[in-house]
Amino acid sequence: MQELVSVFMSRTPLGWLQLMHRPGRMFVAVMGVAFANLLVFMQLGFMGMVYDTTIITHLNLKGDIVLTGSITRQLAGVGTMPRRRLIQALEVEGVEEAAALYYANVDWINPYSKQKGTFGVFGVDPDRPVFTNDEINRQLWKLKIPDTILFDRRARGEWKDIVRRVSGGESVTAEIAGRRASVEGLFSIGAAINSAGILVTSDTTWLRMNAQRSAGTVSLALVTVKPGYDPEEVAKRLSAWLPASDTRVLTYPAFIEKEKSFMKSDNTVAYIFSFGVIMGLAIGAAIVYQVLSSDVADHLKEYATFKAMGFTQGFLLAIVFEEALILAVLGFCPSLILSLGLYRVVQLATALPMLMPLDRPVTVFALTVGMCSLSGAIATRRLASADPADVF
Amino acid sequence: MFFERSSSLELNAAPDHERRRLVLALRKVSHWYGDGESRKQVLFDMDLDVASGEIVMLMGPSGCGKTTLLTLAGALRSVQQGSVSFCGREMAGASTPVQLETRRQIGFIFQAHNLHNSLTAIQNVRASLEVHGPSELKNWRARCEETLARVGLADKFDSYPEKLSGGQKLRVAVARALVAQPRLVLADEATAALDRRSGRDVTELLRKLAREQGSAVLMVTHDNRILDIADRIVEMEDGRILSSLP
Repeated sequence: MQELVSVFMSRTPLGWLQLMHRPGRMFVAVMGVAFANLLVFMQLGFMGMVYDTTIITHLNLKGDIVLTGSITRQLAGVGTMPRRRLIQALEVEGVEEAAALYYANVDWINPYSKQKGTFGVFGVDPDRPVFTNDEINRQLWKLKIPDTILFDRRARGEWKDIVRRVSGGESVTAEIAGRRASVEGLFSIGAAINSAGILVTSDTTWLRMNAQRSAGTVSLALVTVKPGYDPEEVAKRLSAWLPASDTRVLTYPAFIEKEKSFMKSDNTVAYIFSFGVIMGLAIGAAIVYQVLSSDVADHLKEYATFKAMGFTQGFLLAIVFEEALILAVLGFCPSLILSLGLYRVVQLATALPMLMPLDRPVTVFALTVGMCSLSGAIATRRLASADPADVF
Repeated sequence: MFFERSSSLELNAAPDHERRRLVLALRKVSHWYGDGESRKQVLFDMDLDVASGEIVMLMGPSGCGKTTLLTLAGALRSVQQGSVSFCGREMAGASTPVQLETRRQIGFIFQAHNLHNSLTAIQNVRASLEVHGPSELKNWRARCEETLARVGLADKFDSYPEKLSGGQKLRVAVARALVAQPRLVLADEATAALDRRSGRDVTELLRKLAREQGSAVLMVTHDNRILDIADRIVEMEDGRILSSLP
């Protein structure tokens, strides 16, 4: 091992020297790697955005345990459960409270610009704050008046005129699902892929907007556990108590996980974006191969000379892999910075969160190193034509 | 690993006095190129000895097999028939590690110099030490600088080959070939591209340094102007030795 280290330390950094000898070519190669990385970062960013936004609304719900219909696959999808399960749930030891929640997607038209948007609408009991978002909870009393709603000021699209008027104290009347409703307050949640934003209204108003739904079937229920009780334990008791045929019991973290995995498993999202990632890597690999193989071709005579001097094939391979790694590192850094900037741009344009989780740069860097090494490995095949017997 | 060392190879192991003095001994060496119908013999039962400290020049028309002989002597090509012995070690049927180890004991000077253009003069010379592994790199700078100074390039340590004249490049190549104190130096038409004066200067320098180190030199040349520097001139034609003059 020590010998290996000293060999490494005493080695002429030929890959680096060769690259630096042709700064123009090296710049092109680094830009190529950076561009490929940027593509990969953007694809992963979009994929992460789709996953993240599926739970954006859910994270605003407060509860230790969530009851859903047994066929409910995601919040926005179909599936309901009987309301009487909430009352039954209260009989279970450890359950403090159970709040009903109605949810559906509705179209709404901006009365000023006539622009149409699809919004997710929550119907809640105005006396029960079920949101983690305090701004909503504080304004729930306003919903006691029929046909009033709270509006998402971070909704995607041109809703600035509504937001401005409402925050100025003006009452805005708009048409929602065929009913007139007045906007009496604002909060911030943000858009998702399939909805421009969120509206909150009372359960009574919600049922009027969705006339086909009855008060006896709710979308889900949020259960609060008494202090000192373990939500896992209470959830087990609940699922033993409630009929599995129409009700599913999930702890809050499991509920979030289920919504995420629905998107991941049951959707083409992962396939589409993985395809983009592979395309990006292929472009990068092609550019790196092009650069490395022409570099090998340029130095065939020198490499043959090295072989004649007694250097091993491994020494020559190391030069090519060294170049590959240098290109990987130098290309990765600018692409990380650029992609952080582009994430911000996309975020501003779509009102969707495009975030850079800490593990993503690590993943992309590993992919980059893999991509460059593969190109390097292919480029080294040309080393075989460096025959020391030909140098004389 | 970059440096496959073969511990069983002890260069001075040959017992008898005669062999120790001989750096290179070729016996009945024949060589062919191509296969089947097109197979063509280029060397015929060649015998050649080169002793340490000796400078031997190899002459002959193009295509007479000089370069093939040089590549066989330098362990750059596998021996097909006959025996090539380097410091008592047989090269016929030698494995790749043995070939590599042998090459490290030889200094090569090429017609086109073949300096690495991304390395400075001193870095090019250093490569000859690097090939022997980290232990040889102690004091590398002092050794390389001294050798470069002796070939008259004391002011060109950090110059890249493209900034050097043909004669200066050849001098770097000579320094690279000699810095590790090889047993044998093989040179191929090294002075061909130089004018008379530089060609002579470099060849004389090569002889002087080789003598001091006890290295043998085997040099292929067409250059009549430098023949008087040789200890021995070997003339070849059609794969055979015509004459060997002292």
